[in-house]
Amino acid sequence: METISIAKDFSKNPGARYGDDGDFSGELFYKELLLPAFERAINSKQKLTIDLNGIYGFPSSFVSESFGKLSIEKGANNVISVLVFISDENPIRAEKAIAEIKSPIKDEQ
Amino acid sequence: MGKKNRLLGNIRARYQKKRKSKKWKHRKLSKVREKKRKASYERLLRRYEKIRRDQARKEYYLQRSKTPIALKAPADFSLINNTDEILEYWENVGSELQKKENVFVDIDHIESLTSDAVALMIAYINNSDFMNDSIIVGRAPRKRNLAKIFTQSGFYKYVFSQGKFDISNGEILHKETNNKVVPEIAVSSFLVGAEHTFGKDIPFDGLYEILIECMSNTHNHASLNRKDKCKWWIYTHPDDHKVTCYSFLDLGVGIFESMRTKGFFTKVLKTVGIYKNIDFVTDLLDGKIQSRMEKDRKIRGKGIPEIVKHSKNDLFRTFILITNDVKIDLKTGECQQLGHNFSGTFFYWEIKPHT
Repeated sequence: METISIAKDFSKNPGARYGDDGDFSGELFYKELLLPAFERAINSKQKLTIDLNGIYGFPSSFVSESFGKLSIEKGANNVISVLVFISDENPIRAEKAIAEIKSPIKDEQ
Repeated sequence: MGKKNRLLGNIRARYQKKRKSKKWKHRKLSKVREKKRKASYERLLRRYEKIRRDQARKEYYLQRSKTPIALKAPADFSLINNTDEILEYWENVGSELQKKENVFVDIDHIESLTSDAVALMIAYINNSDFMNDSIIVGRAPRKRNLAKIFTQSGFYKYVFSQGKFDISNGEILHKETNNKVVPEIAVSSFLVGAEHTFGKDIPFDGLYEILIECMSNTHNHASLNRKDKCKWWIYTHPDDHKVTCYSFLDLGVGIFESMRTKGFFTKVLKTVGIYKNIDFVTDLLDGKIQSRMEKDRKIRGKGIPEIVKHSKNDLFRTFILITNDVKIDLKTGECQQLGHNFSGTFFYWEIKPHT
């Protein structure tokens, strides 16, 4: 089972939504790490673990552009069934990601 | 050998013939002419630059020689506590500067001063549109404790040397010149606050997330014409009582100015003045107000609601948003219609230790 640690594999300080907003954006995380790892997990019929420990925070725009986008692209149920979150430092981070996956479109919230 | 020489001779003869042709001469001549033209153009450009520089210098000295108009600041020099008077004051300063007058910002006598007012002042003085090539002069307040707030802020460094990043006695004053979201600055600012207020770097997602969303808000919404045109400022000020005060501001168009309401009628009604900005506060805080950005509209607009959600946390003692002609207390939801417009967005909050 593959694991992505946002702090170790990406950055301890996740940024905003798009690449042109600034460094460590949700868009970059989605394209470079999350989407490829998700597709590998689907192909190998395995889970994908997302480790949310060690980061300074988990900004909404970052979450929306990464996990929200993944949900829009691949379907909320698929994403929920594949991803496993580790968030010992702050369980709210995992709840936030799951809430975003379940309803990524603002009007549906 | 002879054959080779003949061949070379032929080539040479052809070349010499070619050099005598009108076409060749014309081409060579135009190359020389082109070179001369370029050199002359560059000379002209250099001369123009010199004239422009001399003129700018003359204008500057002429401007400097003008006696500044003294404008007495309100005794309570705090944007957060005395919002309307401070906005009116800067409006007056701005209007004199637009008339090409120099202004003496008289804060000698002030009775109270807060870090938010210092941040606002520095942002204005560094804003070329506001300054209009005029000059602001002034000196620190007479009261020693207030003068200390000035010096600690790195104010002089910013105003006189246009410094980019300054940490003075654990404070952070930063102007983001690339106008982007800079997570490293959010971390630095977070650490100053967390270490001063809680004594250590504790996990406090809300504080970091607010900083990122504020930067993102400026980057995306502060300018009507183009993304990332507007500069933002952050001032992190640890006070003497374990409280850290944060001021985050931009001098853009303001949130309400940049908003785009969904319904056509509300837009029309707002234009004819039936609706005021203050009527849209609830929609703004709920993330229902759309910005002018077209891309991904359905999934965007989560930044302000996130800031509002975090502001309710008990670790935030105060949380104020001032934009256009509205002041909102994000902790209580109370809003105030301002008598003066603030063109920009100002977030102010304080974090306090656990009780």
